Amino acid sequence: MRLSASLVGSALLLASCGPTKAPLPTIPVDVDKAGLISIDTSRLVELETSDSSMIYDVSSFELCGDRFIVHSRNYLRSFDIRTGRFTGNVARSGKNYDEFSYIGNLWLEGDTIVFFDTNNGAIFSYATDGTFYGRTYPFGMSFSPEEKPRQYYTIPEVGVFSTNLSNDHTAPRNPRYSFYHFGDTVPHPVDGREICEPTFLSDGTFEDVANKRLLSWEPLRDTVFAVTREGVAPLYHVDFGELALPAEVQAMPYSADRIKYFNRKSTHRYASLIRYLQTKNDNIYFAFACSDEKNYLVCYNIPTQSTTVRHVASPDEGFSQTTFFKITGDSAFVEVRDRNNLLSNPYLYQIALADLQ
Amino acid sequence: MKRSILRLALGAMVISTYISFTACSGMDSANEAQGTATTPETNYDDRMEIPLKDLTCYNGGPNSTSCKIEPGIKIGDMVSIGCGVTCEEGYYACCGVRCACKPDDMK
Repeated sequence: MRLSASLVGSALLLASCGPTKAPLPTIPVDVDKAGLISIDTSRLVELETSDSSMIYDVSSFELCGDRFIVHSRNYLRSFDIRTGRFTGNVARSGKNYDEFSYIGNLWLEGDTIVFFDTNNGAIFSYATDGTFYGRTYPFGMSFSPEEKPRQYYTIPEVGVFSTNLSNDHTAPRNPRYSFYHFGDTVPHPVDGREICEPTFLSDGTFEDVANKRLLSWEPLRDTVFAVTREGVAPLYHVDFGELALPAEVQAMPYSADRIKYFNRKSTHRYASLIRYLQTKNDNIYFAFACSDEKNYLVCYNIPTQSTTVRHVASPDEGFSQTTFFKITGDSAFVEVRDRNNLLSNPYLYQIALADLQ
Repeated sequence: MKRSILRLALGAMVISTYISFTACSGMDSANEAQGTATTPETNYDDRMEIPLKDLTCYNGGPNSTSCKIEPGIKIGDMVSIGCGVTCEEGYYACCGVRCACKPDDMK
């Protein structure tokens, strides 16, 4: 019954997003078949907890030489990859020319740490030791409220995409994505998904360079979209089966309403919240959350259409994963928290991608 | 320092609790209060119904074209979520318990 409702609802949800021509491929996720990746606590790297190195949760990170470059809300800090020792701030927030205001998204260019500052509409570059290399304005200096960039993504040989800020319905349009030709500051709205509310998560977009597109997802909606300059279209439906959030909840326009439903006290457990989706070779990886506060990692093999679900934790759950993870080479670095000491900085735990397959 | 971060985190949690009930809703200035007064700040206990005119701006405010706010919010496990707006002429950006564009003549 719930499955039927979910399928009908998914159809409604997708229909509301635009015309669909063929059934959407499904990524089946069975939480009850999740295997445990048992944490060897001797291999956990604790990001140093001190007055000067405190961070919140990990929004994103890059591995640069022997440093973890960690973005946590308004912090951009570096830590030693082996010991977790704090090695300094890469950049600071502030009003000076070499200080940022708000990190939209972070990436590496060789050994250079680069990020898009949403408030300044600028790309900032730094060395890992904090040396400021400069800032550029890839979209110019003035923006229409219809398409004010929040994040910056590049697809080689295609162009640049921005995710945009909400204009709270004060302008005729508010496309979720805009496309820019290389070197051009004129935005072209990408049709298919409009922004209907001002809330957002730090993730939500992956550069699928091999397929010359972006992959996109939204909080507590179990659909993965493909973004090209021609438009945004549903690509996969992630089917959590009996644990799926009802489709009418996923269709609620405001994520606050979806969150409220997901968090409500109930004997029924829900699974949703696709996060940090990434691709590698023939596999799609992503994290998701359950309303019982356990998080999981998924590997979906595209050729075989098979799914593997893993939960990363110590046997006593004293240490367990959050939803953040990042693939680097043949490994994934997973954010782990000490559930008995949530005031300490997070830990990073390296696992082989093969263990997720 | 650690205490101040803890205070900041607690403050963020308070804001995020408000946001979890109010973000992106009740944007229509025609909305009227449904509840009885429980907080000195808003006078509304159902925060989904806070009228735009009663939205307090923690970031942004008159003459701001855009603003953002990034508290922690709990979705199952701890996940950080933020909100932000950029506003058309005739409106100013206001980020508080939710993010919205307020008409210039609404203080």
